[in-house]
Amino acid sequence: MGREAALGLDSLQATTNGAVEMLGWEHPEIFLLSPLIVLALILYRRSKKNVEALEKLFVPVLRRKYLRISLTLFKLLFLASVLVAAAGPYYTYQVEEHVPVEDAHLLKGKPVIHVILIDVSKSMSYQLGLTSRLDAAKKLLETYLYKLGEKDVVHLVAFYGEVRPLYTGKPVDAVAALNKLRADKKYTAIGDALAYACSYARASRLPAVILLVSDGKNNYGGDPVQAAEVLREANIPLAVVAVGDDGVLGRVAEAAGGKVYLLNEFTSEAVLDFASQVARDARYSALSARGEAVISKTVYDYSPAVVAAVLAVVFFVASMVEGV
Amino acid sequence: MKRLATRPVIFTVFAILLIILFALTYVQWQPSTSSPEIEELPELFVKAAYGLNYSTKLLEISLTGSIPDPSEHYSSMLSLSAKLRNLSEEGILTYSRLGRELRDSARAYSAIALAASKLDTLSMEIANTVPLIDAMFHNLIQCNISAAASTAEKLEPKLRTLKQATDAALKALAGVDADKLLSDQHRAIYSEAAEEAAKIGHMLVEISKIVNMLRNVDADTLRAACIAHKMGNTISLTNCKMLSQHLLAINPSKGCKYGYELGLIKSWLKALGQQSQNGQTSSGTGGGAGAGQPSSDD
Repeated sequence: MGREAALGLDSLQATTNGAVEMLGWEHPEIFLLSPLIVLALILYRRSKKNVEALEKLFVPVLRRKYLRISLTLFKLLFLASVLVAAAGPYYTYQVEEHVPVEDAHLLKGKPVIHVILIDVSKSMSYQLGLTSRLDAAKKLLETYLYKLGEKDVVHLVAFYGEVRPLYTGKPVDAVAALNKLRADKKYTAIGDALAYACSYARASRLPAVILLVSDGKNNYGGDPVQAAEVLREANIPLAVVAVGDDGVLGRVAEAAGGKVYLLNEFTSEAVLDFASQVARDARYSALSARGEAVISKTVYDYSPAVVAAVLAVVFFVASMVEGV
Repeated sequence: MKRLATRPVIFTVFAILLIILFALTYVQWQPSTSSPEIEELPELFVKAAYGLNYSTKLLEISLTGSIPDPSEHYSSMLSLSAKLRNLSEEGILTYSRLGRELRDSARAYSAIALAASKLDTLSMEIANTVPLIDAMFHNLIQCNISAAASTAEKLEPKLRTLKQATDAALKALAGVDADKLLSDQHRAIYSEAAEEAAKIGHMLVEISKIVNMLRNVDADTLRAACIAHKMGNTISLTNCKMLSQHLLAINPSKGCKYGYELGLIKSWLKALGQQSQNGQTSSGTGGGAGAGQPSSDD
């Protein structure tokens, strides 16, 4: 119970209970005192004859042999219960707890695949504040990559009229590939990029999330809204970063059941916190879609110690029938 | 008969001893309130640094709106601070140069432990207030101005309390003589704590700006600007000057957890045809070559 609190997870809601994992003792050294029980028993046995003589004179009911044996047994059980309770028996079991998005940092150890689709069409070279749309997007993505878990995998894909996978591997190492990108390609095929990402995410055994970074000027390939609907059916989460204006991206995100983040000259002022928020939400949505937004924790249940203490009291009271 | 009487007594005493033993295993010994020995100092210094580190992490987590109960940690830090302060006042530490250095360090670590306790208080206040702040931003971004204003009203006194708690934490941190800390790691922990507390202070300033905006700007003006921004339109309101001033004062980069939301609200400037702090026009286009909005990528 105390350890549960120490984990700081009291507020989380338990969803499934696991089986008993093991029985343990908080103070097993207490059992070194067990010879004292034998000693007490010997003392009691040695006084038995005198007690019997006393019983004959004053307490005729104790002439009954079974009662006398019971009382001896109660005394013995009392001492044993005290010893067991003092040793602090507990059992442990695993519980899986649902983690709310606010506590998404607790899920950092779980791997997630991030399929990042970045628009490198010419329109991404236009100005956004003091920089270009692509540079603002790169800055956001760089922070995004640094905010991911060490076990996460990034699949970086540039798209324009075509879809070009650039890098697959650790998040931090994707920064180099990201920095090489130039916005000088023709056309923007958001639908095709989403279809590619959907195939990739479907083939993955790990929870996956698609991050689409674009200015939404779709003018080539398949219908992005239809592609987004396929994502929703496949239960693949989509996060959209709309650079400048959201254009068609609002409808795309809505069709996929995802969220749109607006990257403009104002929100880019808070790029660090913005990227952290996108990274957190993206990871969480991927894990949540696969039912993996849970953490497993060991619960220490000390109810055996309480039971032993209660039994000790019962046996003590019962043994008092005979008198001290 | 005498012999007969003694045995049950022995038995009872034995049973009572066992019960006492049982009780003792569950009783938490209260820490000694007496002055610690000098030998304890290194351990106490580490405890103080560890405590500050824990408090900083707690402060970070508090922005999620839920934290483990810090009351136990708070009390232990207060008690540690008092212990170290008492020790720093002991005469034995003035007899030698090493003694005087230890005395100064004990004062510094006492201040560290005190700062940790102040951060715990701040964390608790923040965790309690975050749901209200979240609700205010959510409503404001959804153009639900009345609900946002009502939340802001409830938020105002809490923000005052938070500012006081932040000031107290910053003051306690300022009272630490970092040069007297005995390791670089401890100094790094201290710097991180100061940085985190300062970040929270800046964040509160930005949130206060939003609360002030909701209080001072007409709700219809706010609603019109919000809706116009959502629709990608520009509006010209006669009384939007005050709104512009409030929006221009917002600094999303200082918004910490709420940086993105602050940026979105500041984006309303576009709807008012205003310029950003960077001097760019509201349409997101500059005057340079190739800066025009593309019609296509062909």
